[in-house]
Amino acid sequence: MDLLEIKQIKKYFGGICALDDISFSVKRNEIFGIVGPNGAGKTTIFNLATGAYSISNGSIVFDGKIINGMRADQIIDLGVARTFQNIRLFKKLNAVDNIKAVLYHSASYNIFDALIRTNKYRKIEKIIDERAGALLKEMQLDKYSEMLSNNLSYGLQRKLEIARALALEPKLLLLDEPAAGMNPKEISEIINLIREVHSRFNLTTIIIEHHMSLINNLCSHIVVLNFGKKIAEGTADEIQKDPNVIEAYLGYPTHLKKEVDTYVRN
Amino acid sequence: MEYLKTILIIGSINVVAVIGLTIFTGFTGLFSLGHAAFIAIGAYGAGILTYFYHVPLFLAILFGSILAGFISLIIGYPTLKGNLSSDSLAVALLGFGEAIRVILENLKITQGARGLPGIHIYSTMPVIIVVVIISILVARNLINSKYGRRFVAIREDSMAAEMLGVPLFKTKYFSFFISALYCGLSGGLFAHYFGFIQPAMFTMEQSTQILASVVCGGIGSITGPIIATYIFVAIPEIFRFAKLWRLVFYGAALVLTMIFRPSGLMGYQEINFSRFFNKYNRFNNKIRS
Amino acid sequence: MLLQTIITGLGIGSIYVLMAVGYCLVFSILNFSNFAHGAVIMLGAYWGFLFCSMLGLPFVVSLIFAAIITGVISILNERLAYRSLRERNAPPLYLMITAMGVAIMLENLVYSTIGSNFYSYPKVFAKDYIEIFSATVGLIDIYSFIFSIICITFLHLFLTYAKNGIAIKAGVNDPVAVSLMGVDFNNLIRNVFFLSGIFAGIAGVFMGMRYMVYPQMGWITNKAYIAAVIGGLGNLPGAIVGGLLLGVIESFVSVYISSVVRDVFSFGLLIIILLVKPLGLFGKKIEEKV
Repeated sequence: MDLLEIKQIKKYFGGICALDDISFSVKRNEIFGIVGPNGAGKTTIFNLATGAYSISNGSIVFDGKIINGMRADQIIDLGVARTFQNIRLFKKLNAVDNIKAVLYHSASYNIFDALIRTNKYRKIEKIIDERAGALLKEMQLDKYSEMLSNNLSYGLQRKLEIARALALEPKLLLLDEPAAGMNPKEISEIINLIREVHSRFNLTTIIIEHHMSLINNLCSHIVVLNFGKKIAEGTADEIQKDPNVIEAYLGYPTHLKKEVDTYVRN
Repeated sequence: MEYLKTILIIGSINVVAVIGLTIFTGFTGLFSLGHAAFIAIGAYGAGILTYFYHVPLFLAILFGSILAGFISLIIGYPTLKGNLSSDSLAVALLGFGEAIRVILENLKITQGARGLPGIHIYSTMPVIIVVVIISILVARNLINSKYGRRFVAIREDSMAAEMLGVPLFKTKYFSFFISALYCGLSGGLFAHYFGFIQPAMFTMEQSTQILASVVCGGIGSITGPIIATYIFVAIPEIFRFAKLWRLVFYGAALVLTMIFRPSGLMGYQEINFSRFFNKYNRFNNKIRS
Repeated sequence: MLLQTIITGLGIGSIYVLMAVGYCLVFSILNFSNFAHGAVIMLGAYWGFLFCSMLGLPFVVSLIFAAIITGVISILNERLAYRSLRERNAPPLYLMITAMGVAIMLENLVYSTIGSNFYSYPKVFAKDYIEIFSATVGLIDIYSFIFSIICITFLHLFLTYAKNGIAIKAGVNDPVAVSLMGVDFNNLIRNVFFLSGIFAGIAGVFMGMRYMVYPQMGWITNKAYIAAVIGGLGNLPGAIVGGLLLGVIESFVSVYISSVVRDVFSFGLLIIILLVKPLGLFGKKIEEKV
């Protein structure tokens, strides 16, 4: 059974149709890509899958369960975690606290343990400390652990966001434009990072990206959106040759390419 | 010397309420102008028990605090459930504060606008000091636990917090409840120090005073607002002429803090003695060499 | 009795509308609650009293002067207290706290300087009444209602046809685009605050006439905030409906239940609306872009 099934979802914002009859499936342990021009509705899919927005039509099935209509924290319990297009770290907290803030989701002590600092509290706090430290170390962020997340460089902030999502121990990781704003060196670093993290944590990963180098390198299966509709699906090679995709990105149909080239040259 | 004692006592009574609002506003980031209502509930709850029913102080104050907490559960549900904007929430809590005052003015048992005179003066230094210390410790332990972390996550970015597993409503509700308990406790102490309470004492001005302590003392800090409270209490006492202008001063302090130093006196930090000692030692060593 | 209650309700409701509209104007463009609005209303009442009672100017003249002065006060308020925060892109919470600070400052400045005495306007039309279908209706209610209709109409015409007004409506929708189109955004804000201040002044004068003039009267504006929230924050027609609805309900509660618990009912109405329609009667659900 596929891990995530998007079935004929529609999403309206008032009168605007952001997603129109979108369907695709993501297999377990796959790295899946979602590409498309800006405004195509890519992030909206993430928002629907994580419970930020409600679906107008259709259904989303994760690990056999219907998740549209569930609350965000319920979906997280099932094993979905995400990063954000505009980095949404907890700015006034340092790096390790950003991770810890999320780890507390599974801390099982209660209020009385917290107030009198019982052994249970201490033990769990210690575990959380260790796990946060270990996670930062794996992502090579450990020397920044005390630094205010707002003061980290852009690339490091993106890394921290990924680390924070991983702290939720997800089965499915949703990365929203992880390479946005990065230079080529940083992009190749993050490609390696995503690949490593994907295998080490035994994840299924969905990536929204504009940098095709990242998509080509990582994704085995890609879906292309434009104006809320799915216009192509397949491997990286297949979609790059697809005339619909070329038309969407270039703005004119491919059969007119010769005419356009001549015009431009003159 | 009497001066100092008065400042310490009044300041400490206020500090308990300020810590409560710090949890709600400073750490959870939710703005309230109605918390004076909880102080009033605590004051009346405790005062009525000792005055009419001769209940021992400790139990009465506890009752006042729990009563305030209970009311907060009723009010918190409609106001926090719907994920209101901060403005709507502020207006709603403001309305709540006023509504409580009107109710208190019209209940028989509270003797209406005349108030309750003749409450025994039970709040003495040792009692207050004990309560303050316990309040601070409880708050500190709360903030440094998973509950505190959830509060802060909501303050920093409630949408991201929700997406990362923080249950928004439950956490806000809990924060509100705790802040109400603290304010109720403060009210009980207040009633038994002044010996007289009436609804007109618990107005939006009082709400603003605690808010000023929280904001100017520093968002995200416990020690900052504590210091600010004592300063705010001390200044009108030290400068007698300032008494009339005390509230003008609070208002100006709020405005100036927001414009020039929005994170307050000790925003996001606590007093860290080991840091001071380190700096002192380093300074000392520098001089000697 | 019923008719009288309704008309009285509309009378006080129209003052709420005037208060709420000024507050709503600022909210709709800057997305924060200007809690200093009540203090400006209070100042309007005092200035109106100065002109009318102490200088003996005719009523309408006093009203106009008071409104202009509060308009200017409102501009100063924005310039001194809010502008630096706005330019720093401070979160709305900071602006609200600042507004609260300004409100406390102004109220207590008046309290410390002028004193806590209650002043009352000369009986311009307080005692007069007319009879409609066997109901005794105070002239002041009629005047408040008519006046607020005139003001709202002017506002509507201004926003629809005047250059500055259209700019304001555009700015409400998209501040960035508006400044890119060459509109001086700071000027626009100044105009909004001036308008808001004028409404505050008029509301203050009517409020002062209806009741009394005293430093704490700014807190009555809480009703206006409640009216605005009921109508849907940032929604001008909503503010009108909210204000009138609040006034009428209060009137009914005062007459048929008890005038003392009136405020509790206002708050109760707010809670009910928040439970049923958290965005107010006319508010629209805007899903935050994640």
